[in-house]
Amino acid sequence: MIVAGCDVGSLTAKAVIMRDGEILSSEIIGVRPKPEQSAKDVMDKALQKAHLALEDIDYCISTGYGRERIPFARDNISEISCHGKGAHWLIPSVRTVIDVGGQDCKVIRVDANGKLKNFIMNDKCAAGTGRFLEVMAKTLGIRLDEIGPLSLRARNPVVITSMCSIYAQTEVASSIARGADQCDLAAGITKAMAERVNSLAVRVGVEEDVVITGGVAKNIGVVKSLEGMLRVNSKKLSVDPQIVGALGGALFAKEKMLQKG
Amino acid sequence: MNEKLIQARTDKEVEDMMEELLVTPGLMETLLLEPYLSEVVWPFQEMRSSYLQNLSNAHKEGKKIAFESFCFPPAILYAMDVVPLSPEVISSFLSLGVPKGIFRFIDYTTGIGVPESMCTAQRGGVGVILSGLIEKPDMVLNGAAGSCDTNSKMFDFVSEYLHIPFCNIDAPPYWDEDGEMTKYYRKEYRKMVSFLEEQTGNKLDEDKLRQCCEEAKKQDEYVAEIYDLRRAVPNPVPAVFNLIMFGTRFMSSGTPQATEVMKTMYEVVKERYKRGEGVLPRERARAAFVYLSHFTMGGEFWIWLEHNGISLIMEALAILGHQHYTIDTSTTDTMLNSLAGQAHNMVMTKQIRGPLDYPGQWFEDIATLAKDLNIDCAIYLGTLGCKNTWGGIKVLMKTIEEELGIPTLIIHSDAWDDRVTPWPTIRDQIEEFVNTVVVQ
Amino acid sequence: MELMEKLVQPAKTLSNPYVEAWKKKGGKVIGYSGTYTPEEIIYAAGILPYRIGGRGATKVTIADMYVGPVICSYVKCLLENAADGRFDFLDGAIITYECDHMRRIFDTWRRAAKDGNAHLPAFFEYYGLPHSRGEHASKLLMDETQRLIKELEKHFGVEVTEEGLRNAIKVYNKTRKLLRKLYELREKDKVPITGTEALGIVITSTVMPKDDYNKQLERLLGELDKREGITGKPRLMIVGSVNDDVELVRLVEDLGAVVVADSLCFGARCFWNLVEEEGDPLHAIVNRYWEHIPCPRMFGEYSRRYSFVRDIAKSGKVDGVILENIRFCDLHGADNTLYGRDLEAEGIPTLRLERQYGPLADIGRLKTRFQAFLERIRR
Repeated sequence: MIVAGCDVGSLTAKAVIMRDGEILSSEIIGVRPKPEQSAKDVMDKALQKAHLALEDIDYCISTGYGRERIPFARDNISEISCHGKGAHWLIPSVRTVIDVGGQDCKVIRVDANGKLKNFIMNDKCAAGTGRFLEVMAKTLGIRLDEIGPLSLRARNPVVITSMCSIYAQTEVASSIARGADQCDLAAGITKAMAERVNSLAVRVGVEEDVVITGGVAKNIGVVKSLEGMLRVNSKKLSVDPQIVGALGGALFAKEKMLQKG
Repeated sequence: MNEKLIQARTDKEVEDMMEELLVTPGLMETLLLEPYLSEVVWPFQEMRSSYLQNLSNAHKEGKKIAFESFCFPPAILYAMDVVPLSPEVISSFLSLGVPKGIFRFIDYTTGIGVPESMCTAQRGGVGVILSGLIEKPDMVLNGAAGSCDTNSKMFDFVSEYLHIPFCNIDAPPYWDEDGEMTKYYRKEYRKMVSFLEEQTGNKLDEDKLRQCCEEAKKQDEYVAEIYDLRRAVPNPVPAVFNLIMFGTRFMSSGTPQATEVMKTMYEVVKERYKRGEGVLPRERARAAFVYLSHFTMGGEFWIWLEHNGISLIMEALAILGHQHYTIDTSTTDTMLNSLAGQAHNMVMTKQIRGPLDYPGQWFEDIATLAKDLNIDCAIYLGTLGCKNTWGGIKVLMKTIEEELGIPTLIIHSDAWDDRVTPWPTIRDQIEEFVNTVVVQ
Repeated sequence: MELMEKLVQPAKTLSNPYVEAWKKKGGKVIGYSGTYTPEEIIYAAGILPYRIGGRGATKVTIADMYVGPVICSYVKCLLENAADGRFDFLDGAIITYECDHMRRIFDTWRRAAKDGNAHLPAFFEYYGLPHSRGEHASKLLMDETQRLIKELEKHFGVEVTEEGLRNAIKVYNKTRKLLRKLYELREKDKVPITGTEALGIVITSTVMPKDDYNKQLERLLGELDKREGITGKPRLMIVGSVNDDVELVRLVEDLGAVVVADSLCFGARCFWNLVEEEGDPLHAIVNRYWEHIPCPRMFGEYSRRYSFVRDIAKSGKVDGVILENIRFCDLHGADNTLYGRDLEAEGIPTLRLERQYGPLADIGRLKTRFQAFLERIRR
């Protein structure tokens, strides 16, 4: 039995193909103008990697922002359930998934079976999402993936008080002008980010084990800062954190197939 | 509430902050650096430290703590040996004192589910209280019911959240000086007194009540004297005295310490008047801040006005709320009516109670003061939490421009949270307004 | 179903054929803002009470000229409707002090009219309410109501008589009983009516003459018995801020649920309580409106509201409760946190939802949350 999950977000599209409970292949691409195109392209790439054709897929579930527009998906499930499912499959002790993506942030509680227990989302405001980091990286004149490692070398983290990315930019720019150290600024940025995520997380409660997924999970500064605030040691994923949603989709696809059969 | 989560919000950095609550270095630095303020600092500091000590010691001394609004003069509480805890006072202490502000405490309330759109004036203090850094209250007194939904709702919420008794002192839908509305409020006020007697097990003591009323009367007299001097050109009342005036009233109305603060301020103002001293370098604008000021960065708002020639003639919180009642200490009945009158006419409780152009409402009060004190511009600084004023301020300002012929400015900011609009941006907007519109 | 369609159609527009017919024969219409306005008084004056709403607004540009950025989007849409002339058929409007957002309409609508940006009804009154229940609040409210009646009588040249009030009470109580019956049907295991239809029926009750409405609803209730009924879907309850847009309910029902209950002001809260038919009719009316299932604008009354929500959730055998509030609505927003705490403690799953109303609403966001919630509660 070969199943697949396809996660079309607003910035990236992901696909995961599984056979007999193992991940065959996965792929991440930047989105195309239309979700149908993004889905096709990312799926094609994943299929290629697995040396398969679309007809070989027995059941595909779509998720994410563009989930309703995927023609080859039999059904769609919210990215919230999919993230919870995927993370839980990877680490069965997980009870809280904190997904910090490019444009939104979700905190997902699952039960011992990986079933969705509760959730909360922020998709209105850039603060607490990857977008904030992007803006900050630009302001600092560094690459996005440099923020994390730089922040760990801070001696005197700058306190960034602005909630709004626009004002934070101004704050950071004036700090640079006053000669603030890049590492200290990076640390201030990751801390501000972590504070927003933390604020969201406490609203649904955080139960261990915790795993952090989404693009921002790759930022070691944010992860460490958030772990400190929550007083937890988060579990680390063995796969790219961005594919967790699509993985969950594939797992749900398998469940649906078993139900039918 | 998950203990772990509470701790996650209060690391050592913040625990150190609690010691700073008393000292509030930012504000103290500000006050001590200004020569005309040094005399006032000491009685002001003594009064503030009493306020905090009362809270720390309340339960040890077997007293009850009442969670009450800043728009509610606490004289009655002092008379009944109940310790006042105003979340807005706590928000302001920390917001003015600590450079990093009260964001952490505001965010704490968001974490427990208080809507982010509610007023930061309460959210800061509520965050400090609910995270366990200050003694928890034993009851909630909602004194602003008819004037601000958001404020009242926070009080409602806190009583349900902490499962403590709640008393709604209802302000009626309209205002009058001595008619049905006043009578209604007096009944509500007496309802509160009965509630307090029930909660504390103590009966209202006429002598204590008289003492507090006499002090409140003296305080009102000093405020009235200071008001008269505002008419002078230049205005001799230093900007930050407005903060001290309303801070004193909200915290400690009815106490001898508050009288000492008011007296000292009056004496400084009188001296400045004699010497013809006003804002520096010279008075170029006589501004009415029709609503709030800005409570961050150690009080920069007031200091900046003082050193940039903008006279803070009218600061709503300081100047409104002292009119339309008298304090009559003859009997318990007259005293309760007096204190009810003080509360009924409190700033905001009075002005935004009904339609804004109705008798005794916001427009009328601003118009009266504008003419009396020769005000030449009106500025609105508020909070994002204030739905009542944001629902009508644009209409109000248009009316002010048309009927009073003075320019107006509305700024989008939050008085306790610089993350919304940073103080330098606010300051620049005021500066530009004064330069281009006000100063001809 | 032609009868159903006829009953829900007026909910989708502002003016409707009933209002037009009423006006054509010389009748007057008075708009009112919410559940605390004593409609029977208007009816007794021979005038059609019409509950104004925000539906139909496609922008809020004029409203934004008059109100600040933190004002409720429903109220903004309502003001925009006034500015765009969609309430021009009103001969009067009563703005009741329900909440701070709504009551400031009294200030802004007048100013917008002064500026030539809106038409102001010839009769425009503020109805001020206290916030406390109790003996002296009732007296204050009575005085204010009598003032309103006098203004009404003076302006329209009518008389509100005791007999007129008694008659009004009978008609309105009939409506309330019929709607209670409708809601009882929704509690059945096989639900004969969708939440979308039910909301439509309730909204329609607020925008057409009650006599005609009662007849139509009574016929419809008879027909509903013949319906097969919906089973096998998660049963939901909606609690929170005002909503006069049936599409919001359709959105969640289209994802595979059925809404069987609510505690909303275009919903259970506007008709649940009857007026006493004994004793002085004016007192009975004022009392009923003052004491009805409270809006969160009444402070210190959380437990009354919660009891209602919990009891309805239980009798409706709901699988989940949607706690929604319009952004900046602090009254419902704060209450919803408490409801969430208390309902979850009783084992009833809840979804917290903050939303924008009208043209600013983001359907995608809402869909994701609704869908995830249904995934959570499906067995």
